[in-house]
Amino acid sequence: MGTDLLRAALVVALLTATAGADELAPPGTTAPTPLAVADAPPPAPTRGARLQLALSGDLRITRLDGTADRFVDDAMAYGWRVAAARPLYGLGVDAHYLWTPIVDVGARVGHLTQDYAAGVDPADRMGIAWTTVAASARLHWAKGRPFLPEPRLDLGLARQTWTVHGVEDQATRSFARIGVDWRLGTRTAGVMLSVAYTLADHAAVDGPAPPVGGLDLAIGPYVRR
Amino acid sequence: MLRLAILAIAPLAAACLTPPDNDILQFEDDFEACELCGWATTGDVRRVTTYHPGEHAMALAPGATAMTGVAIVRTPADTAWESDDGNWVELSTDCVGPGALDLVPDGAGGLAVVVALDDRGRAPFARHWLNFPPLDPAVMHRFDSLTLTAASLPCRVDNVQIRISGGTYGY
Repeated sequence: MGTDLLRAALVVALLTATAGADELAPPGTTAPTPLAVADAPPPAPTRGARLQLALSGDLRITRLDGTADRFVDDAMAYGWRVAAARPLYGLGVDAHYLWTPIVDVGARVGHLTQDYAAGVDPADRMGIAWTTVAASARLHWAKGRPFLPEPRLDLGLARQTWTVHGVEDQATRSFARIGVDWRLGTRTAGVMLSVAYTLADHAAVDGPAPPVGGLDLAIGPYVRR
Repeated sequence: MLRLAILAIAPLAAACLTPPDNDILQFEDDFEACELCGWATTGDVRRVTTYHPGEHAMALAPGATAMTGVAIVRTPADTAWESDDGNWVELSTDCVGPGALDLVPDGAGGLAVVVALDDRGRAPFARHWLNFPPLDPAVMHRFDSLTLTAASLPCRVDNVQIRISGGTYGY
């Protein structure tokens, strides 16, 4: 778990380092611009969007889960003919309330799946399906400036369906997902890019346990209303 | 960002589950199809669940024996350049080592493959390989049965395979 935390911290540090010092400064701490005298009264403030919905295609690189190497070794030791920490893939849906001043709060649901090993009969597979629900919080300090990384934390539960030789075994697992979102678009619509690291609790299994954490890549459209 | 994504995804596309060449696999049992079907047992031998409800193994109590019939014919090499990749039994077990393998004449012109499981201790499941004694490449060999025996320790066994290079697939 310590190694996973270090990986997650490294991902966030690297990704947020792309923003300049001024961009990362909290609101109100940058130097004020000179005042200008206006001839006409400013327009009445308009109410901004309050709800954001996003759909994403997700890819999780489970090779970067701390248990990936052990899984491959255990699977081969048990007699699977081929095993690999292959990437989980699937879809996710985000709903966030844009809570002023700089925090978005919401939820995320998703579904990921993959085959991890095959037996002597290539159709004999070991597979994982992950259906998740998570509470989510995100800092939107970009304030209208495009393509700034916005740190994000998700805490949730996953319903794991682990299939071996056609038999399903279900379990509930907890996970944390930490990373950043980039919003490419206008105030009302565009494309969201996400990079994050997912840490999942380790299954207590006397045998090959497929890795389900790792580096997440996601991309998809968003709308704000 | 696009370049980063391409760099990340490219090696993953190659990580497909391509099965290895199984041309010399002559016999295989993963104990998933049925309840020790095809095995004649003496002593306490059971089919047990291991790390997943869908994964099973054969558990042998101390002194127990399990035997199954096979029909493997290893034909003589007919060309000077024909290579021999070896002959061996492969199995996963929670006994600490591979044990010992012997070929015993069965009195009918064939050979019985007899594996005495390791009795030095228990360990997490691991894959083991037991090589056959050297076989005369100019002589035909017929293997009629596979026997597993547990001595003083209980052992669980899974994914048992016999691999004979040059043999005829026929179990």
